[in-house]
Parts: sequence; structure tokens; C-alpha cells
Amino acid sequence: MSTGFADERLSAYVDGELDAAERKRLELELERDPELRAEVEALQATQSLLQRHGPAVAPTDFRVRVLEAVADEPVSAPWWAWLRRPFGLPSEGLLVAAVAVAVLWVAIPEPPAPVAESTDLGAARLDWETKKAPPSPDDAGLADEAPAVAEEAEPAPVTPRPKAPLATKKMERLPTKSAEATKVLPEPPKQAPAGTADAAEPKKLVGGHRFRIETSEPDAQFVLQRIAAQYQSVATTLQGERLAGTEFANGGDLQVVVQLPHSALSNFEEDLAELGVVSTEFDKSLFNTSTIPVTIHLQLDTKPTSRGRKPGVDEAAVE
Amino acid sequence: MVLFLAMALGPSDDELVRRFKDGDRHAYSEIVRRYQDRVFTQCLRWLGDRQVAEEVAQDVFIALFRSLPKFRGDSRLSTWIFRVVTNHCKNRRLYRRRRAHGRHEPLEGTRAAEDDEAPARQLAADGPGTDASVQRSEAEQLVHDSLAQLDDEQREIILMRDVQDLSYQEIGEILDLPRGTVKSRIHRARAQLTAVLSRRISKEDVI
Repeated sequence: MSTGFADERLSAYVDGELDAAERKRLELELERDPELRAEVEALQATQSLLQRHGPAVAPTDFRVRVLEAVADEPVSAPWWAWLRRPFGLPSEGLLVAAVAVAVLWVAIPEPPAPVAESTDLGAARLDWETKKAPPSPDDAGLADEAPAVAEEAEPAPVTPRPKAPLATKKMERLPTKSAEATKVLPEPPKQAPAGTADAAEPKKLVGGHRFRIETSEPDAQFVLQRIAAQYQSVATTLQGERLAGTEFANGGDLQVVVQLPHSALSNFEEDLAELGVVSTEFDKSLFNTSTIPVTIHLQLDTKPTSRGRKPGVDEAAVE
Repeated sequence: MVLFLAMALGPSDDELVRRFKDGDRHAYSEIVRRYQDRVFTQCLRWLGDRQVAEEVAQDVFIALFRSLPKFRGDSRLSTWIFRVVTNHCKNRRLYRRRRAHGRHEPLEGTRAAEDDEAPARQLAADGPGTDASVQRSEAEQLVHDSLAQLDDEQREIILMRDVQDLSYQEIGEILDLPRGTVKSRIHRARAQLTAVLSRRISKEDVI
């Protein structure tokens, strides 16, 4: 320390910003000079302290507040943007839609029968669209964030959905049929906690598997928001092959609906752990019996948190 | 595993910007999610006051919303965001100094000692509007109090390097400085912080 950190190469060395020749030269000096070595160690300790204790986490409702703040502001999209994203389709959507319409127009003389989606994916998709389609005070914010695919079709009826072959082009890319999904992955016994008024929910949450999760996060709602946000972005990206949505019900009890291919399920629990979930009731055997997408409803165990604050439904719903 | 990697990474920043320019609000939401902690951290560690940091961080994202359509992609989105953060934090500091010292504006680069103590005081008194259940660890408190002893320039650059993990090149782009200047400023800031920390630690040991 006696040199008072006069050598600015030391920080560059700590940061790995010296070129190879400089680094080698300095390392030779460090071997010979214990004081210089002590300075490097002190700088490294400072850096390590900052790296570990410097980062902070934004308040749980931060994003909600930001989105609310810009809710009334128009997105300054160029005039040609509507050509690229008609009804929320991605840039390729216009072409795909035009081709689909042309094919139907030429090949099918009679109006096609109503499309019925019957897979778990279909269920999730309908769940999603049902939530998004009729904006309500509770899901107004969600509608803002709806993946493009959610705006693509008319809102579908919620119940019941007849079993029928897949009828949309997107659905044809799915690996298997719904009958198989139902057979291989039967609905397990309800695992939702008591008092969550399941009877009121199946209307939207059709099919799939339910799991109760607990989290160490003081604001458990935030965990679900993060899960939902993570999978929403995937759904947007992958356009119908995987969908995700959030379900907010029962005055604060929350559910996340996740549609995942079997290949992803083995890591799903780990993924949740990274998002702050510490306890799950997964029956992994369910995940090892099929290669088809699985719909999962995560039921949050909403118990009083250490903060003594349970965010209101409105706050979450905006997310 | 590939899927999970894709999930973890999500769409690229460029893709999000493109989608936002096409009118997709969801892309903006994703940008906020992706950067909110980093922006908030920079504001908090620089300004010291959680409430002020939240306000400034929110202003940053609102400014981004309005400016993103003009973003040409000449630099990385992260670089651009930190430039906006830097400007907002500087403006807020300037505003607070002006308020604290009447209309007197301190000389560029001089240290407003009174104001620079504010972060430590405010953090120590973390009051309503902050999350009282989150107990600030001693180490975090030490880091924050020590950062408050640096001048703005030093605090800004060491936060970018050691907390935000930005490279010298990125920092140079954000602050519009040549690499050599970045290198020497980082070293001065880190050396100063190391000295502050060792003083504080040895003082606490004595107590």
C-alpha cells in the first residue's frame, strides 16, 4: 500500500484489460514485489465486494408502474408497421395469412367447419386468448403484453371444447394428438390448496396438470409474474408451439399456465428454482411418459409474507 | 436444454427494439424487465436514495419509450440505456445541488461534500417508501456508504465497471472517453474506494 496505488496497470490487470504482453510483464513484477501484490489483492477485494453487494433489485411493482406510466402514450411506429404486423402478426404473418386465405379460397368450396382446438396446447391457447380478448379492469395491463398470436383470432368460447383433429397450420407442427395427451398424462388428483375455489376456475383452466408451489420470495406474486413474463416471451417468439399465460383469480390467488414440450420438463423444476420457487409438488413421473407438450397450472400458495403485505390483484393483473 | 437456453436468453435486444418500432408494446415490457434491476441499481448506488432512484429509473424508462423509435442501433441498446441513465442521474444531482445551494452552481468536477454525504444518510434512515422488510446487510451498507465518499465521476465509473460489469470499451462509449482515460479513471476510483473501505473497516475494528 505504500505506493498508494500509483500504478494504473493494476486495475486494468484486475479487470483483465491488459494485453498479453503487458499482463505477462506485470505478473513477473508481481512475483518479485510483495507490496505490489498486496495492492492487487486489495483492489481485487474491493471489486469483489462491489460485485457481490453492489447490485440491487428494483421494487416488485416497478415494471407495472413504468407500463402504467406509458400506457396512454402511443408507440411511434412507422406508418408501414401495420403492413408488417397486421392484427399483431409478426413480420412474416401477412404472407402466411395471405397464403392461408388463398389456399382456403381455392381449395375449399364450402366454408370450413369451425376450428376446434383440442390439445393441451389448444387449451392453453384458448385460456390465453380468453383472458386477453375481453379487456377488463383486472387484465387490462396483460392485454398490453399479449403475444401477437393472442390477437390473431376471434376470442374462442371457453367451454367446452370438442375433441377434434388439429385444424390450423400452426397446430400441425405439434408432434402428437390430443387423445394421446389425455391418455398418457391424465389429470392428476387436485393438488391445489384448500380454499382456492377450484370449482370457480375450471371454466378457464381446462386440462393440464396442477401443482402447488411455495416460494421464499417475500412477494410471491412477483415470482409468478416473473414466471409468466419469462414464458410469455417464449410464446411470442415461438409462435404457437409453446404458449404461456397467467391466470389471476380468487382475489389474489394466482396461477400460471405453462405449455411446455416434454423435452423441457426435466429442467422445469430447476428453472422455477432460479425464479425463486423453493418448494414444488411435481410428480416427475408424469413428465417421463410422453413426448408431447404438457400444460401445467402452477397454483401459488399465497400465505402471509414477512412483509405483511399481499399485493392486490390489480397490481398483479397489470403485469 | 436448447429450449431453456432460448428461454433464458429470450429475444435479442435488437429484436426487441425492432418489434417495439413495429408497434409491439410487449417488446418494451420485455426491455423494462431485462434492464430494470441494472438501471435501478445504477440510480440507487449513484443517488443514494431509494425513492429518488425509483423516480429517476422510471423517468429513464419513460424516456426510452419515447426515444426508442429514434434509436438507430449504432451502439448496443445497453450502452444507449446507460447513457440515458447517466444523463438522468447527472441532471438529478445537479438539480439537488442547485436546490441545496440556492442557484449557485458548483464548478464542474468539484465535490459537493454536503450533498455527497446524503446517500449514506438517506440509506441509514431508509424510511417510508422503501422496503422495510429487506434488511440491508452490513456489507451492502458498507459498500454504499463507501461509494458515497467518492465524487460523482469516480462513483459513476466504478459502478459501471464493478457493479454493471461493463467493459472499458463500453464505458468509453457511454461516457465518450478514450480507453486510456477510462483506464486511469477506473483505477483512481477503485484505489480511492479501496482506501475508504480500509479506513472504515479498520475504524470499525477499533470500535
